[in-house]
Amino acid sequence: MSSRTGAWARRTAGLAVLVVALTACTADRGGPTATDGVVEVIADEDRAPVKPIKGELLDGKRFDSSALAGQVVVYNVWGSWCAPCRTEAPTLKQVSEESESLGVRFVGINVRDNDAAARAFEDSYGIEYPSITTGTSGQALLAFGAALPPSAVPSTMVVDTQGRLAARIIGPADYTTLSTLVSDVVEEQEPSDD
Amino acid sequence: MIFNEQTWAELSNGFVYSAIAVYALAMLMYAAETAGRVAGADTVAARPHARSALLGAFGTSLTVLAFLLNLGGVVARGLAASRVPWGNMYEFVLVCALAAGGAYLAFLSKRPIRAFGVWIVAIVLLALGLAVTVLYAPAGELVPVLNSYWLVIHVAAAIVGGGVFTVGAVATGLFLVRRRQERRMSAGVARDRYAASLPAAQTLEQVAHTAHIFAFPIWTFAVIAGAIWAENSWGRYWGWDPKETWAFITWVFYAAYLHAQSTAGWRGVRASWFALAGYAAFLFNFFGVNLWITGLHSYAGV
Amino acid sequence: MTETEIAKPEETSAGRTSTPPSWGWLRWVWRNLTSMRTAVILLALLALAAIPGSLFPQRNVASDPAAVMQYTQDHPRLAPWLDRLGMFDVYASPWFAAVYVLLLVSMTGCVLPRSRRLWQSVRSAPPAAPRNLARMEDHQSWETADEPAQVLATATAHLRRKRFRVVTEGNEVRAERGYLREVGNLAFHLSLLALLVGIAAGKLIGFEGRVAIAEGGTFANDRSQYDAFTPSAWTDIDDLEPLSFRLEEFDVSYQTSGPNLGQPSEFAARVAYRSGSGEERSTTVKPNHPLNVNETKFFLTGNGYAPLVTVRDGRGEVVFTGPVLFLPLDGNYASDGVIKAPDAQPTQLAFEGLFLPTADVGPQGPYSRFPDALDPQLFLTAYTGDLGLGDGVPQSVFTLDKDQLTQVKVDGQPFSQALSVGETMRLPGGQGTLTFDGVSRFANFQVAYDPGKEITLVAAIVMLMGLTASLGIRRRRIWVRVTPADGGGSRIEVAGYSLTRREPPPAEIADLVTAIRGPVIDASTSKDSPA
Repeated sequence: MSSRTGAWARRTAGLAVLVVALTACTADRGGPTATDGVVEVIADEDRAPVKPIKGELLDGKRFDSSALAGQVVVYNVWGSWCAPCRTEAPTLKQVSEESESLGVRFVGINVRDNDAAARAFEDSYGIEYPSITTGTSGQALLAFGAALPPSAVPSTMVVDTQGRLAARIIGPADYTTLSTLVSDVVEEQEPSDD
Repeated sequence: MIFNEQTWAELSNGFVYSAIAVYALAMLMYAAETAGRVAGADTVAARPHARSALLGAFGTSLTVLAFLLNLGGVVARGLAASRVPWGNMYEFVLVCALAAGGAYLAFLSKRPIRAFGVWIVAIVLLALGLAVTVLYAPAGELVPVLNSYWLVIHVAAAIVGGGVFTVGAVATGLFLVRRRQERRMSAGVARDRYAASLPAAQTLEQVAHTAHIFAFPIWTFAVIAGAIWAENSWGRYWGWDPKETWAFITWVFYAAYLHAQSTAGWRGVRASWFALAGYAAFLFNFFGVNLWITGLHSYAGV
Repeated sequence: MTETEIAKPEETSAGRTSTPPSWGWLRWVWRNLTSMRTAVILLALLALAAIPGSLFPQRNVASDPAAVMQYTQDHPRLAPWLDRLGMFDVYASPWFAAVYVLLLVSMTGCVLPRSRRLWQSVRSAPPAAPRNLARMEDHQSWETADEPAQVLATATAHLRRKRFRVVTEGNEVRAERGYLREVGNLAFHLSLLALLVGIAAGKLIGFEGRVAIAEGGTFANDRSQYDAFTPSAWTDIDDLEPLSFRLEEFDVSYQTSGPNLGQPSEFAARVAYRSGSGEERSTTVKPNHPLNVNETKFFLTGNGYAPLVTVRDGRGEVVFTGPVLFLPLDGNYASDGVIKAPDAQPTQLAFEGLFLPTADVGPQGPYSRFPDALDPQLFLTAYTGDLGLGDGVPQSVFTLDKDQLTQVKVDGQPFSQALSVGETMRLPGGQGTLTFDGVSRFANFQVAYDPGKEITLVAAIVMLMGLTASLGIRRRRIWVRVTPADGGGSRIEVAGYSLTRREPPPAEIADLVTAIRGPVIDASTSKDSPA
């Protein structure tokens, strides 16, 4: 009789072992995204709007993307368990600080994590911009719908002033790429802004 | 007397043991009949010896009785567990023995195939003996994943198919024996008296063919029903789980048999080997896969 | 191709024609490929080729995805060779594909010409009676005073009533029945092709995924959220069903008495889900009862424990709090797992150990006595140092990379502790603490989207019906011939012919004879037995 439950458990274990192989690396193990992000810039006429994003932030406040209308917003999907997220964290911190004066806002989307670990991560890397909690990030991910990068964590999306997806980096972002992307998206808006 | 689960379970065991005892007697009768037939077999045709015929009739009556006891055992088992009585391997073998016995009796009512009796009863006895000694499991609830009406449909179809395949396999085996003897006889080689006592090869082949074309669609249905259940339970209708694989192998061998039966030069003897291969695959699926190979069907329990 | 006596391609299309010689060998190949003999051999090969897949562990087979890895470890020298031969992926291997593709070609090549012949035979009348009817099965003849025309009319009416296709031509009635047999046979074989189309559609457009969620955890149907995701060649990943759900609670009950002690009697996952931006709804997912949102289905396929822990670092800051998935090792759910706190300061912390739902200690050490959480305990050891996450190389959340970690020791012995719920483990030297807050469970969901399965199902049903028709229906012909008798009146001959291996229904001819002669049995009947 124990073999019956045993088989169930074995199966669970078996499935879970695959979880092992992939959980940590849905984003990362699957090919080229492991070390270098894949960059995609979307031409103006091809851009699709991103649905409104709402959620709870790690600091307890509420987030609503409509409050950022008209600004360039960079969303970063991350988790404290995710090793490549650690390598890109200093880049994100630097670009977010440098572009703040240009009116660019950074928002993290924390996934598959726990809030304490996520806060400890932000603490370690001195991340100042807000992040949506794992508990409420599901809706945020779905808001990107068709625009969300297919393979995951980490990934970074740049939303233009009209609320459309302008560029994305699948995998860890490096400084030159991200800062160039961000400043390009900011600059392209300037003629109409001024 | 109040019948609770416990008494039903005990009653079921009683029925099963009685069925074994009566089947053993039936086998003795059939064996004696066969011996008489073999002794009386002359070169032209098996002429039933009067006493031997009586023994055979007696064997058939006992087989009917044992079949009914087996049926009682299965029904009581179902009442003991308050569900269909094929939720673990013990019950599965019990019901399969029932199906094989039933299929034999059904065919016997239409065709002169009492010569099968000794073999069918031997197989059924072996199955029941294995069930009560090695596979026995107390009556109880189903594990959650088996709790589905597809259990009733899919497993019942597999069991009925298996029972009729058993008759087909015995007929095929005896056909091969008889056919060889007929060939040798026409070549003037020494004869085999047992084979000479069997029904004509043509009759045996017809019975085998009828059994197979009856069982094959049932088996096909069992496989399809299993696929629907798998889709409902695991999210995919076919995943090459060992049980699924061997059901497929069984199906393909029987398909090969049916095709060989209408291929010039393959009909008869060669085709028969495919049917036997199909039955071997069926048996392996039944015992081998459950006992030796771990797969999603493992919880079917030993 | 199943069981029939109609001439086979190898018997009909034989004979050289005037085609140029360069085509000769092609025709020869085609004729042989589409012959029944080849089909039988290919079927046998297909059965044999399927066997290794059940004996060797297979990739992409759900029962145990780690089996191939395990086998490779156990047989380091044999495994690479088996792998080269495709033994770990039999059903996707070229040689397996070769067998079934050849079989399908052979089948199609055999069935299509047969469709044409069937069409012709349906359009044409039943054939004329052979000159010598006495050679046929069930031949009967007798003389009567009735007018030939009347006899023919009676026979025609009777056979029509028996749903034969009947033609009266000159002095004979030609009747045939059982065309459905061939129709069934063709339906069976053609639906096999449709079945493959359905399978292919699923393989090309659908996807499979797997995700483990702890109680209270959420999931959004986005690829980033899956533990494993197997898309197909044409899966539109950007167009996944917009769905999110939360595992509210996972209920398990076990039999606590009786012969099947410890056997699970129920698994039920209570989930709250939302499709798109719609309302949140609640449902219960059980084995055999998936959650189905517009054909994306979530099946409950496994479960385990996720102990709730809180880790504080050397500064006293909370650096981890929540459930941690522990993977079951045996039927009583002894489970192992790790807890990582890469942002603990001043040093990173890690814990490794066992979770036992009903803990006990035996001669072999701690073990679990029962699958339910009756006396849950965590047995943990601790590590400090560098978890190795900082260099960006992904790692499993279920294992520790111990290269740069040091096990915490006390008096030279590894520091370890058994924790009950509510208890705290304090690392020596104030490096940190871990509190065992409680027990939750996780559920494993198999997620599937297979748009081809309806095609497959319909094909399978047609296949089954076609098969039953082709095996159950007997195609046969009956002829009635009336000739003037020597001494006036007519001489009637009746005969039947079966186009299948099985004998026609035995009473059919007798009924016809009765219908023609009337119910009175005439002693002068001469019944010829077939030669």
